[in-house]
Amino acid sequence: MPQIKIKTRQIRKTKGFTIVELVVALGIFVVIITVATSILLSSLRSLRQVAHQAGAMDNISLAMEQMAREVRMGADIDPVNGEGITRERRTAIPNGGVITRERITASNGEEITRERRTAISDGEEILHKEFSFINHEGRIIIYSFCGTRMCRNEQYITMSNTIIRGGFLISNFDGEKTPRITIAAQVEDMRGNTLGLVQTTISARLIHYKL
Amino acid sequence: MVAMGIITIGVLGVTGFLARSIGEGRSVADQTIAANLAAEGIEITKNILDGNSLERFRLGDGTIAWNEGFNMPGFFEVDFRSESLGPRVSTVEDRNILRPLKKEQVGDAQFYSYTGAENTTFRRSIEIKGGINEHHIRVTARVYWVAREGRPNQVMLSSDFYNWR
Repeated sequence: MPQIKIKTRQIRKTKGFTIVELVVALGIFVVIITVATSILLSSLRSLRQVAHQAGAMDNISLAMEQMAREVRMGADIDPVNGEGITRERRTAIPNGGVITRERITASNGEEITRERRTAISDGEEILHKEFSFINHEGRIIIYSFCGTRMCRNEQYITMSNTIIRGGFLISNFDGEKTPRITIAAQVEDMRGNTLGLVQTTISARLIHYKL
Repeated sequence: MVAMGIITIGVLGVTGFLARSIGEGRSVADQTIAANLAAEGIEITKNILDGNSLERFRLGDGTIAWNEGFNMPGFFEVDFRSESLGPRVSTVEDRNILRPLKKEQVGDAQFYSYTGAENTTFRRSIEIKGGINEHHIRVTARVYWVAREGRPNQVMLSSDFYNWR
């Protein structure tokens, strides 16, 4: 019997772990796993955010490219300042101004047509939220910053999960020089973080019509 | 210890890969901005050239050349308000002498220009090469920027314009 006792004691000394050892090892393991998991999760969250950022930038690039292609081949570029107003015809007059024929649609659906005489100076710089022009098919197209997105004829052309803010600066639309439209669009995610400010300028190829 | 080592190496590997992907993703935004700014440079140049042709035909006396202001090769700076190429900045490519584009507030929107208040990392040069003959101009727009990790980057666009009118 004494021999068996000695053997048991030896086995206890050489094999297995004590409760304290197990608890310490498990504690360290849990800490490492927790830290590793949180690092992985935050990395994956950042990766998702970056993927969204890349998607949003692609989207605004595509919208600008579409706008540029259409405007280059268009004519009668005109800033639009009032809702429900469609410019039908613009005629340059000798003193440097223009006569614009406008069709105004009232909220009750009634349509009014009027002619407006405007003098436009070169130094005028107004931020516009929309502009109209006649595209190569002869249709009136209006591009606009509509709420937090960009629109073409009131149809969204940018994603719903991205906020787009900005405006158009339009110069030389008086018929004397080649029109130029500068578009600036600040791209933000839904939490208001700025992803980038994208800007480009489009020069209409109106020279073909002049010669 | 062995288990912990394997887990640590695994986690560090995956995290490193993700960090690299995030860095690359962020540079996509800068590339998009730079590509659009370079396209803007070409478009402004085209607008100035078209303005020359319009003026030339309006006057009808040949006093304005189609390439008025473009007959001096070199590097220039333009922004969306430029009505001409402006003074030559340099005769050789040197990103360090270019002014940084700034963010300018116009109404409730911001625009890249040289008259804004806040410097950006983007610099733009417009190179004019007209040496081939007087009926051809090659315009090259370059946009330079420094990435977040300090790596210099560049986008380059080129376009050829001819006196075909």
